[in-house]
Amino acid sequence: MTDKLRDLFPSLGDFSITSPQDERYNCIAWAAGTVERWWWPQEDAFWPTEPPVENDLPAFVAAFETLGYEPCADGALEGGFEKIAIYRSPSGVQHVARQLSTGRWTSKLGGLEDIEHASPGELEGAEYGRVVQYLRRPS
Amino acid sequence: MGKEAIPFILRDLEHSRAQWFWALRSIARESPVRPEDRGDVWAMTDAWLNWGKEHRYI
Repeated sequence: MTDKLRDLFPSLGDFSITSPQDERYNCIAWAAGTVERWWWPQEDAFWPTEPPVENDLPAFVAAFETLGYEPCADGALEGGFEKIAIYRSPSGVQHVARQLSTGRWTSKLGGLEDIEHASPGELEGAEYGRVVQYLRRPS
Repeated sequence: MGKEAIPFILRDLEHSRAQWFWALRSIARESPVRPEDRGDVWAMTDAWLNWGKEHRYI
């Protein structure tokens, strides 16, 4: 699996797999702190705002605002805050990563595993596009 | 892809747990998933498999 992940994310440096593969939840749910539902802005998934909306950045910002997040400048570790990074490609939002208290980041890779990685930039590329928004909330 | 695909999709849903929900809803033009179960993959799978049995697709 490690080789497959490196193929998908060529910039991925030192990382560790932190959970078994689980198709019950996705990266959005994991970033939101839950493993019980698949979060996506469509009728066939959970979304915290109603009605289901289009896959675009404002929908994801609004969703995480319901959890107390607000936009911030970057992904630098800040005492008293936890942060997330939202990735978008030309076809829409693709991924959300969450910062850990150590300053490293955790990501659920679709229906695959959770990983811990050093920085949001390591997952930028063809699969997820690039980070277009950071959000933070008091921890 | 029309309703003739539904049995095959439901069989794959049952065995692989792949997320066929959007395709099923598009083809069937209805959804048996309760609003409170949206995103609960196991509950959604059960709802569609029960629907398939009720409609004699499987």
